[in-house]
Amino acid sequence: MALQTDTEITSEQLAEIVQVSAIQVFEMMVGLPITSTKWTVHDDLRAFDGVVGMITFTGDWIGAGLFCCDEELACLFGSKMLMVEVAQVDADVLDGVGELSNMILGSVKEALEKRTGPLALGIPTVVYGKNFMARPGVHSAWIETSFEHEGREFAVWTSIQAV
Amino acid sequence: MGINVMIVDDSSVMRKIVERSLRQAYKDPIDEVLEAGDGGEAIEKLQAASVNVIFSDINMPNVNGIEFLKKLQDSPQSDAPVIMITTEGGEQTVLEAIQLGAKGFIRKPFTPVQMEAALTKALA
Repeated sequence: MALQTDTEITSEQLAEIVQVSAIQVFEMMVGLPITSTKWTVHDDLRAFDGVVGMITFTGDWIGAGLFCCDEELACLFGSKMLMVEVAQVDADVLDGVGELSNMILGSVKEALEKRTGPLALGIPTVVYGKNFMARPGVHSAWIETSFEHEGREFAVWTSIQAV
Repeated sequence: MGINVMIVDDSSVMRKIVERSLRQAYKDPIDEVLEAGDGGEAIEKLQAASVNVIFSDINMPNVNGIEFLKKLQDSPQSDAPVIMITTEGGEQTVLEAIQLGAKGFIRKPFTPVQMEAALTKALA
């Protein structure tokens, strides 16, 4: 399934870019092995629980990416990055999720630019809560790329469209 | 003999990751690590401290990495080499940073080995 019929970036291509970027970031910067289990296409974003880092892409194409995980995984990722045990979501954990979002979606942006031309990456916004909706201002299909670490799932949602 | 390092980044997490990578990979001990949240705070801290090398993010609020390089050029606070760390290193930004005296670039995500290589080159 293509994101848009008049573009050259398919859902599969976008998911592959996200998979490569996230696995590399986790291996190099977090020191945790992750695997990508699947990707699925959605017409719209759903409500989220946990911690979500959001970043937009702008240029001749516009898009957005959301890094989404539950509280426990956010604390685990924060603990690994900060080198201290973190038991609950605090400012440092949110900062860590922001950095993860920035690095993963920065790598995605770089890979996309080979097809889209130059894109600007926004500043990450991190939200923590339950049953909240996000509206990054993108109106094409969303690709949910799922990942797993020791049986726990998290995901990166991405969407991109030509202006 | 160890070296003193300054890490300039608005993310406390990224400052920790840079420090951890340096301690893992660099052959000499890291004696002291000074942290700053932006270029302005870095300039202030450099007035009272001596460092051998500075690692700086580019995209930061207030005084960003490029403005920090400009301030360093105009001030006698430090002649330590500056290595830029960035998620996105557009050609224009890289050129501007090099013209302003940056001695190296590291793209995030990075490995401790890449960090060590950039540090060794900058201190050579």
